[in-house]
Amino acid sequence: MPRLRARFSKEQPVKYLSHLDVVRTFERSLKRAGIVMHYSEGYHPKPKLSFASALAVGVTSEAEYVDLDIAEGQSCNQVVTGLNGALPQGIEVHEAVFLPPEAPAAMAVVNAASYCLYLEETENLCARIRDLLHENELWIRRQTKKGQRTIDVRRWIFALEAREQCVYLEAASGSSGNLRVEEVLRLLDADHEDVRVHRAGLWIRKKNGLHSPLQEVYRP
Amino acid sequence: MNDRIERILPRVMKPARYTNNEYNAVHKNWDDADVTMALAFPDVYEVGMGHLGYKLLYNTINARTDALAERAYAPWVDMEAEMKSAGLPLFSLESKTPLTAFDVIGFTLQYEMSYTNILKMLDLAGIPRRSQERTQEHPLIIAGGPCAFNVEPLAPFFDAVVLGEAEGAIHEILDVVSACKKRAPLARQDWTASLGRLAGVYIPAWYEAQYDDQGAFSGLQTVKDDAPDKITKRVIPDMEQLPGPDSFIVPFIEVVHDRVMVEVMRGCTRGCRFCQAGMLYRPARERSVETIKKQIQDLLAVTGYDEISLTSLSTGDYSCIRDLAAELMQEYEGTGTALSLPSLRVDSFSVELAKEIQRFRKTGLTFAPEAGTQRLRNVINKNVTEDQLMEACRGAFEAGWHQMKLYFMIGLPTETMDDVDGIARLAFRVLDMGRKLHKAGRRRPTVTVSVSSFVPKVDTPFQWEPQDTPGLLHKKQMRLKDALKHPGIQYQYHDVTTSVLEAAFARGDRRLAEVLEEAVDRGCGFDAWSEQFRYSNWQEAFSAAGQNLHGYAQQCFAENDVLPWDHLDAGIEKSFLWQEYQAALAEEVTDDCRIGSCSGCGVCSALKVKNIVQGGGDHA
Repeated sequence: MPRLRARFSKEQPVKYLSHLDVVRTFERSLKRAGIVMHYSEGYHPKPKLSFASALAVGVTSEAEYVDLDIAEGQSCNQVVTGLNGALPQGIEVHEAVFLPPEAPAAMAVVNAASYCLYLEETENLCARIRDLLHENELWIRRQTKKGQRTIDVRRWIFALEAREQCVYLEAASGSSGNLRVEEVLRLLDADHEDVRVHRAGLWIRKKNGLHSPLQEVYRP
Repeated sequence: MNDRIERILPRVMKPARYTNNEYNAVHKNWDDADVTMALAFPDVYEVGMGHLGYKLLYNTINARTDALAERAYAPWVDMEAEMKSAGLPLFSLESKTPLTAFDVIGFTLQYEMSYTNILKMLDLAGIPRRSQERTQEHPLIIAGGPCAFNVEPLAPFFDAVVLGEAEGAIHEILDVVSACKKRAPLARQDWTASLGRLAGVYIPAWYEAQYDDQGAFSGLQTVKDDAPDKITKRVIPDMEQLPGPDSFIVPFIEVVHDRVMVEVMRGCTRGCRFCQAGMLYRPARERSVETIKKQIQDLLAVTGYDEISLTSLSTGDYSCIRDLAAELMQEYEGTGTALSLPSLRVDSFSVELAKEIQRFRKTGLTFAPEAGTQRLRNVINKNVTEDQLMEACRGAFEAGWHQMKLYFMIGLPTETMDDVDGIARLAFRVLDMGRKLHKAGRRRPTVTVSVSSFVPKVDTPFQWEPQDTPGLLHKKQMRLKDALKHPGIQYQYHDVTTSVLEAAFARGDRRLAEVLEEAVDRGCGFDAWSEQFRYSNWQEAFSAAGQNLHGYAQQCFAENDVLPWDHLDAGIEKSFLWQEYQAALAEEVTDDCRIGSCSGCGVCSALKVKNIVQGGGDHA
C-alpha cells in the first residue's frame, strides 16, 4: 500500500485554521483532485492521513508534513500537482516522497520544531534570552490530563537566539518531549497575543544535527 | 481595513469565521459590477453557511457579469464587542467591504428569533434601522424567506420584501436597482416605486396599520395611490427549468449541514395543518432523477464533500425516491460517500427504502410522528398510524440502524394529557422493538425524543389558534421528562420562553417593531442561542413599548377578523384554511392532493401552477 509523505505550507490567508480544519481541508482537496485514497475501517470511514504535528490556530508554517495512504497507480508528481490544483489559497504542497513500507509515521519520528517569533516588544530581549539560557532548570506549570504538573523544560530548548527580524527558537516537539511556543513566551515575559508565530520547520533531531522528515525515511 | 481586522482576530473565538478565502468563494472586481448585493444572514457564520437558499442566490447573482454578491453574517458577541471598540463597521466576507458600500443588503427571514440580529447588524453597519430614516447614502435593505409572509413586526425596517421563491425576483430587483443607479441621483421613493411594481415585492411604507378602540388590528390602509391590496408570492413553476447551483463554498470550519445539498423537490401537499412550509411552498414540484444525479455528481466533484443530502420538505414522498436511492447506491458504493435524509415521513419510509440506503455509511434516522395519539394526529392531519411507525422502525433496526430520533410537538390544538402521555408510550414501543431486534455485537438501540412547543403560524389552518400558556407547556414538558426517564431514551426540549416569543412575533403586527428595538437596545441578540437569550430583557422591552407578550402569543382570532398578514398572499384561499381548521376540530383528515382528490386550497388556479410528479405508480 503506497504511502506518500508531503511537505506543505500554511500561509497568511489560512493561518486561523485549526489542525482539524486543516485535516478536513486535505480530505476534501484529495477528493476534488480525484486522488484515490485508502480508507479507515469502522462506522465512519475516512481517507487515511497522518500529520506529523498539529499546528495551532494563528500560526503559519513553511514545513508541515502529512503521510497519505494512496491507492496504487498514482505517481508522486500526479499527487502533488493534483493536490495543489485543488487546495485552497494559502496551503501548498512543496515536495513529496514515497515511503518504504516499514517507515514509521511522521508523528513518530519528528522530535523537534523550529520557529520564528516576531515580537512587538523587544526591550532587553537579548538580555532576557541570555538570562533564560543561563539557567540549568526552567520550571513551568502545565495543565495535563492528570492534573497540574510542574515540569523542567530547560533541556527542551535546543536553541533560542535574537536574530535581526525575529527570535529563533528550536524546541522539542513530539511524544518524548514537547515545549509549546506560549510556554517559551511566558518564560520570556512576552504577551503571546502580540507575537506573530511562524513555524520554520519540523525536524528529526539527532546527535549530528537536524534532518528533514523527507530525507530520513530510509534510516530507522 | 484588513489590518484593523487582523489586529482583532487573535483575540476572538473561531477567527476563521471572519477570514474568507474558502474554496469556491467568489471574488469579483467591484469596478465591473453595475450593482452589488450583500447577502446578510442574521446569525453566526456556522449557521448561515448551512442555508441552501443563499447558496443558490450567491451563485445566480455572481453568474451575472454586471453584478456581484458577497456574504455577511452576524459577528459573534466577542467579535462584535471588539469591532465596536475598534470602530470597525460590519463588513462583507469576500472583500471586507463595509456593508454601507453595497447597493442592496438582503436579509433572509428564516426564524423569528433571528430578528434582533437583523437590527444589530444594521447598527453595526452604521445604517439607520428604520426605512424612513435612511437617505440616498444608504443601501436598499430588503428581505425574503418564509417569515416574509408575516413581515409586519419588521415592516418599518425594510424598504422592500420579497414573498416566495426569490430566484426569479432577485434578478428583476437587481435590474431595477442597476437602472435606478444609472438615472442618478434619485430619491429612495423612486427606487421603491419601481421595485413595488415587480410581482411579489411588498413595500411596507405604502401601507399604514389601523387599530380599533380595543387595540385590536382592524386593517391596513394604503397611503400610496395604486398600491396593491395584496401581494402574491413568486413561485418557480417547474424545478426542472431551474438550473442548479454549479458550486458550493466549502467552509474550513465546522458548520451546520456541511454536505452537498440537492433539492429533490419543492413543496409538499400532505397538508399537515400545523406546517407553514407545507402551505407556503405549494404546489409540489419534483425534479427528475437524471437532473438530481447530475447535480450531485457535479457538486461532489467541485466541493470534495463526502456526504450527500437529498433535501425537500418530505423526501420520503419524492415519487422516485427508491430508484434514485438505488442508483446513487450503485454509483457511490465503496467511495466513502454517505447519504443523509432529513426527517422522513413515517408512512412512506419502507423496509425496501431502508435497504437501498443501508450500504451507504449510515447517519442517524429521524422520524416525525409529531403527536402521540391517533386522535391528535388526525387533528393535525399527519396521516401516520402507530403500525406504520412500528413497521418503519422495524425496517430501520433490521437494516442496522440503532439510533432513532423522533420529533414531537406539545401544545397542539385540542391536546389532552392523554395525548402527551401517548408520546412516551410511542417512544417506549420503539425502544422495545429495537431491543427485541438487537443482535449481539451491534450497538445498543437508543431513542431520542425531541419535543418542541407548538407555535401557531400564519397561512396555516391553525393561524387563528392561541398558543398554550407557558405554564401549561412547561407542565407538559415536565410530565414527559418523568415518563421518559430511562437509560435507552434521550429527551430533548427547550425552554418555553423562547417559544412564547416566537409565537408573539409569528402572528404579530407592526406594533412589535418598537418592542424589537427596545429589546436590541437592552442587549438582546442571538436569541436562538440559549446562553445568549435574555428573557427578562425581553419582558422589559415589551413593557417599555407598552405591549403585552402573552397577549400576542395567546391571541385567538375569529373567522371574520381581518388579520395583520391578510395582504401577504401565499396563494392559499383563507376560506380553505378555515375549512381545514374546522375539519381539525372535528378530527377529520384531508387527502394529499398529489395522490387523492384536490383539496381546493386555491394555489393552482391563483398562480397558474400545478403539482409536478416525476414518477408514476404507487408511492402512497
